[in-house]
Amino acid sequence: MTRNQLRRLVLDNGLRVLLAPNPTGASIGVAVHYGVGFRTEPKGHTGLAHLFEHLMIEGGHGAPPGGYLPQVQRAGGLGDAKTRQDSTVYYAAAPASALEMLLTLEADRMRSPRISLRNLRTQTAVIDEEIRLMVRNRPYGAFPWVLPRALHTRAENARDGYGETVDLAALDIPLCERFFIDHYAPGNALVTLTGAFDPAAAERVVRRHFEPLPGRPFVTAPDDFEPAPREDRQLSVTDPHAGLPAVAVGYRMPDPMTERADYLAHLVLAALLGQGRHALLRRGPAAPKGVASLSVGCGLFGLPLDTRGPDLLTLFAVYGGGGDGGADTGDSARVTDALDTALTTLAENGVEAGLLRATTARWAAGALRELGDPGTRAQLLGLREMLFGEAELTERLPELVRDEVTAEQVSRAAARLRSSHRAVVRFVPRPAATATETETLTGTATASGRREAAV
Amino acid sequence: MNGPETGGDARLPLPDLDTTLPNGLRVVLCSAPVVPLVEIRLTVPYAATGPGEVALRQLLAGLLLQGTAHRDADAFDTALATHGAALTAVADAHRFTVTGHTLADSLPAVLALLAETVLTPRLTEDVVAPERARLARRIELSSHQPAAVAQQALLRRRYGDEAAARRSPDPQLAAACTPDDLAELHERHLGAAGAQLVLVGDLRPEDALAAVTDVFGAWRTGAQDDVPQAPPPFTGGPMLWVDRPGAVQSMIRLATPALPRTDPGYPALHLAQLVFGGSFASRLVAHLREEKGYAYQLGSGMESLPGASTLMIEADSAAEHTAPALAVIRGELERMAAEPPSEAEVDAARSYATGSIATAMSSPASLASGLANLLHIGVGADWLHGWGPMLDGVPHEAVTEAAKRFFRPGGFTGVVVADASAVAPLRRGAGSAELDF
Repeated sequence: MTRNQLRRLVLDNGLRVLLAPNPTGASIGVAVHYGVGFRTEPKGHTGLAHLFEHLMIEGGHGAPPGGYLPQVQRAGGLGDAKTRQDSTVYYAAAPASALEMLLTLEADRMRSPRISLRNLRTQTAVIDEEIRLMVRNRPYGAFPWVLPRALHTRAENARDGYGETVDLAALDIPLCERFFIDHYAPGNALVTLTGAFDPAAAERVVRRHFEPLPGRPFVTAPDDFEPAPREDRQLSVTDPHAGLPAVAVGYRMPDPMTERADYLAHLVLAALLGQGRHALLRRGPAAPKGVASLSVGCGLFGLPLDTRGPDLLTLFAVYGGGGDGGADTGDSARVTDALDTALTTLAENGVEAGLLRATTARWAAGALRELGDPGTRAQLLGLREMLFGEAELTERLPELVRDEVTAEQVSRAAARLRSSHRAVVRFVPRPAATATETETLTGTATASGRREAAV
Repeated sequence: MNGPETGGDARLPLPDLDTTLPNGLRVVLCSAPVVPLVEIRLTVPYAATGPGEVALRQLLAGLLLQGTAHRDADAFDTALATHGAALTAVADAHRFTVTGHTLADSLPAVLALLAETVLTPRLTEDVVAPERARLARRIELSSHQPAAVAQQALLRRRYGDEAAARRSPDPQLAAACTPDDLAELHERHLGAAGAQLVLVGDLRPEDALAAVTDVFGAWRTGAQDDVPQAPPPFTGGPMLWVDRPGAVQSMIRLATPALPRTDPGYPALHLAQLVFGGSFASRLVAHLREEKGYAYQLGSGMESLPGASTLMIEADSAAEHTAPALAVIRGELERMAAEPPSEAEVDAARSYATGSIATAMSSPASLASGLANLLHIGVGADWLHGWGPMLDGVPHEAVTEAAKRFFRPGGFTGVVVADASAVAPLRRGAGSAELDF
C-alpha cells in the first residue's frame, strides 16, 4: 500500500488539523478530539467528562432543532462520541458531499454548545441507564474497571469514566460551563479528516469555519505519573449475574513514550498468549482446562496506545462448567498458573520464530483492517496525533509490530511481566436471591465502569 | 437524491463479478482496494428440522478450523496466521458462515486452506471431545447474558416452544454426538449447492475467480433441497414476563411479522420503521431517550431471514422505569396511525436510509458482510446498488399505509426480562406471566 500523505495545519487560534485523504471510495471520516478525558476530571467531579460528552453531542446553538445527530443522519452519515482517559472524541462517517456540513456542525459546537438544565437532567438519567446496561445488569460488568482500581493508587488513574453516583447527582450548569471554558478551547482540539476529499478544498472549508473561533487559554491534563505497584493485589468480587466463575489479571504496561519498543513487545506478548486458536493459553499441555472464554489485550478498552498515563495489559477468563469435571471449584489458580508457566517458558526459552511470525502477521493484518473504515481511521489517526503527536504511528503500527518486534524483546517482556506485581481479581458467582452489596471493590463501584463509553 | 445535504451521490459499487460454479457455489467478487486485505465470507445454508439440532451444527462449525485430514489444528492455524489471515466459523438455525480476512497477496493460499477445512475437516475423537466441552461451556455462558436470555424468550413467545427449540441449541444433543455423526452431518449439510462465497477487497476479480475455481471447483454439490425454511408467521398477543431476579434493568423486546426483503412493499415499511424508531431522529428515540431518559440503548429494526422478516423494538430500561417506558412505546406505536409520518419525516428517513447504507458499507469488511447477508436472504448482489432508487420511488402514501398496517400495538408480542418488582404493576393477576401492554 502506498502510505497516505498526512498533512498538518495549525490555525492561529491553536486548533490542529490533520488531513489524511484516501481517494478510494466515496465516504469521509471526521474526528474531533479534545485533550480532556476522565483522568482530567477535577476532584469531586468524576463523571463530568463523559456527561459533558453527552451534552456536547447534541450540538451547538446553530444546529437545527433536534440537534447534531439527526442532521448528520439526514445527510446519510453516522456519528457518535467516546470519552477515554485523556481524550474525548466526536466522530462521524458520511458521504463525501457532507464534508462542509459536518465541519459546520463541529465548529458550531466548539463555539457554543447548547447546554440546558433540562438536557442535563435527561442525560444524567440516560447515563444511569448506560451504567446499568454496561456494568450493573450484566455478568462480569465490573471488568475491566476493577483492575485499574486494584493496580493504581492515584485517584485519576484508578477511576472509571462513569463517575461516582454522588458526583453525578451534584453536577450543575455552571460546572458544565466551566468545564467547557477550561477544556474545549480550539487550542486543545484536533480535527482529523479521512477519506474521499481534496486536501486544498478541505483546507479552505476548515479555515472558513474554524478560523473565526477565538483562541483562549485552556487547562492542560495533569501528569498523573505513578510508580509501578510494589505488591501483588488479590481481590474477589461477588457477582450476582455471573453463572460461572471468572478471573481478571492486570499488569502495568511499559510507558508508551519512553519505552516504546517494550510497549510494542507487550502487544506481541498479549497476542501470543491469547490471540487465535494457536495462542499459548488456548492450546498445548500448559493451557488452562475448562476455560469457556479467554481474552488477553493491551489497553483498558482493548485498544493499545490510547492513553498517555499508566496503562494495563489485561487477561480475562471465564472458567468452569461444561461437565468436564472442572465445574465451579472457584479455582482461579489453574488460569494464573498456566499464565505463569507460559510467561516463564517464553522468558527462558524464547519464542519460536515461526510462531512469532504467524502471531505478528495476524496482529498486523487485524490492525490494518481497522484502517479500512474512514470513520475508524479518523479516530485512530487523531487519537495518536492528540496523545503523542504521531498520527503516523497508527499507520505504521502494523509494520512496526510485524517487522520490528524481535523474539528477544518478547522474552524480555515475558520476564518483565513474570517479575512484576499484578492484580488478580476473582469473580465469584452468587445466586441473586442472596445478593447484597459486595464487600470488596464493587462496594464503591455501583455507578462505575464501562468497556465502551459511547453515547 | 443529489445535492450536498442528502448523501445521494454515495451509490454503492456493483460487484465486479457474480457467477455460479457448475457445482452450485455462487461466487461474488468486489474490488475495493482500500487496504491490502481481502475480506472472506462463506455461507452454506441448510434447514434445521429437529429440536436442538443447532448444537450439532455449532459443534461442526467449531471443528471446521481445528485442522483437516492433512494437518492438525496448530499447523492449520499457524498456516493461516502466517498469511495474516483469521477465520471464524459459526452456525445458527439457517446457515454455516465462515468469516475472515487475509493479506491480499495470500488470497489463493488462504482460499486453499479454507477449502481444505470445509471439504475435509478433521473429525476425530481427539478433536471432537474438547470441542464438545467447549461448546457446552459456551452455551452455558450465554445462558447468563441478559441479551441472550431475552432473545431465547422472544423466540419462544413468537414461535412456541417446539419451533423455538429448532432454533436453539441443545448441549445434551451435542454431548452425545460421535465423530461418525459429524461425518454424516458434514456430508449432508456442507455441500456447494446454494452456498455463497463473497470476496471483497484488494483483488483482481478474474484472478480471484481462478483461485476460487481451483480450490472449490471439486467441492461436491450436496443436497439440493437442504435450504432454510421461512419461519411460520406468528400472531400478536400479550407480552410475557421472564423473571431475572436481581435485574436492575429490564430488557423489553417486541416483535411483529413484517414483509420479506424481496417484497415490493419492503422499502415503504423500512421508511416507516426509520421514522418510528430506526434512527436517532426517530420518534421513539426522541421521546424515550432524549425526552424521558428512560433508556440508553433502544430502537426499532428489521430482522431479515430467508423468506421472512420481523419488525423488532428493543429497549433496556431501569427496573423502576419499565412500566412508563412500555407506555411510551405503546403511545408511539398508536401515534403511527393517528399521526402518520409527515413528508418531512419521510424525506429525512429516505436520505438517511440511502446515504447511511453507503456510509456503513464503505469499509470492505462491512460491504462483505452486507453482501453475504443479502444473498442469504434471497436478494441479488445488485440490491445495495438499487436501494437508493428503490427508496426514491416510494410514494408518501405507501409509508402512511405501512405505518397504519404494521405498527398496531395489537400486532406485536414480546417479552420483558426483569426482576419481579419491575413488572408488578403490569401483571395480569397473581401467577400469570402475561403483562398488560
